[in-house]
Amino acid sequence: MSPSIEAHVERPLVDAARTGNEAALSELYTLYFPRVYRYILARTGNTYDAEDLAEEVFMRMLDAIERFEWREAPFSAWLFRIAHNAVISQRRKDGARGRSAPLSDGLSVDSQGPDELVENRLALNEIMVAAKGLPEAQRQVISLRFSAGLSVAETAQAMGKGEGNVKVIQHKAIVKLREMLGQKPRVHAKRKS
Amino acid sequence: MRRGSPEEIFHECLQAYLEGRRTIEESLSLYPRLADKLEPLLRTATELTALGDYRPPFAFQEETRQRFLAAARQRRLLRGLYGRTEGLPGNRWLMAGAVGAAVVLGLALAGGTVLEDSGRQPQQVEVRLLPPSPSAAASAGLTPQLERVRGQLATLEALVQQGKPIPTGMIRDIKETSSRIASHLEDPAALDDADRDEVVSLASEEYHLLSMARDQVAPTGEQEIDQALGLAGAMLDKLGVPQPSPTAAASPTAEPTVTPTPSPTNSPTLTPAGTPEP
Repeated sequence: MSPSIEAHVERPLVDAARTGNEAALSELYTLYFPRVYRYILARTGNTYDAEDLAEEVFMRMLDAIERFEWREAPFSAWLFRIAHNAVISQRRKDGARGRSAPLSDGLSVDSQGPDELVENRLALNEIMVAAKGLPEAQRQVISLRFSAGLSVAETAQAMGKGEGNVKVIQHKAIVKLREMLGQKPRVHAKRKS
Repeated sequence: MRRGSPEEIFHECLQAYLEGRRTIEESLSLYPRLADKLEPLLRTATELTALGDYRPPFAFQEETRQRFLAAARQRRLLRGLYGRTEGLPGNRWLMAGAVGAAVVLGLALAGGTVLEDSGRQPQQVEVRLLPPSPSAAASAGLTPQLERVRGQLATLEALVQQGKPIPTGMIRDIKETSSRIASHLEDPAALDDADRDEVVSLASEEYHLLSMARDQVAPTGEQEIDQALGLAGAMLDKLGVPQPSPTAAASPTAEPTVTPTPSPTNSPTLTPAGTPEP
């Protein structure tokens, strides 16, 4: 899971980006684009939508960053609210259009052999399909926590909920995923030291 | 949530694992009475951490970064324009005038979208002067694809002009982007005029360039070219535009070459490649 960006680094970066500083905007892009992409991918299960919407989220961010205020929520929570709104908006359109596309090829190859990569890709597809069966709030918590790498506090602020509530939703989601996915280990998870 | 609840303990163990402070086994030994319930959940949670391994394709991420930064530059320019009105007498009227001019300009350009110019720069920027119209909302997601294919065609054109070998992967990328664009054409009436014109222009150019590129691809790329040509032709058909003839195709630099027209018996459909429709 991606580490959260430390506040003392993030704040001056965001403040510089708000003034239009290009280097700061580029750095924010580097820090957040993959996380936003993963979040959208987990929510939509669709690499096409993940690419289109991740770009759209950053364009919306440009339009709105001047109005961002620190007292309401951290930047990450604010940005992922934009991402959430983009997903919901896309879902409405897809409902009308019935668009779907496969999930594939987005998995990084870091420290994985080809066999593990293929197995993990299949397993992650399985997880994403199972996650589609979760209630909306549970799916959002799983996406924010495990795909975007937000902390519980950031997740709570992005969703406008309390931290305790997020922990309960997270627990319920994993219990349910466990039931849906069964017992067999699927993913070669990276070993934590 | 009360302290010591299963949810709180589970979260504490998960966090310890994610931060590398404890292994799952160490956490289970701390809560032996809950170990049976905790272990399967922690194992499932560790599998979920692999969701963080998904990554956008590098080339896509960098292309998007360039568009993002170019858009930031455009916005800074616009902000500079508005900023100069501040502090002047009657600046509210100046601001109202600027906004009014923007509205008129936006209306004149049908759809409120202004493209920087009609050249084929991969870093073109879209500047929204008005809230998106319903048709613009319907075509949301199309603009990035149009930007992308424009950049891809500029690269293809350069290779065609230089007579260099064209990688099959490049043709495949163009085909893939085109298939995404094609997915937006199921209801052409939902497109606004500017988007429609843009699709027609790009599909015509794509058709022309692909025809010229045929001799410069490896044998394995010919099938990709045929499929991409079929897709470009189908997009034009869908928009009611005749497929360009070999002599009519405009090329600013190269002499027209013989362009094979897709056989009517192989009439392509608009189903995007690799995108199963339900």
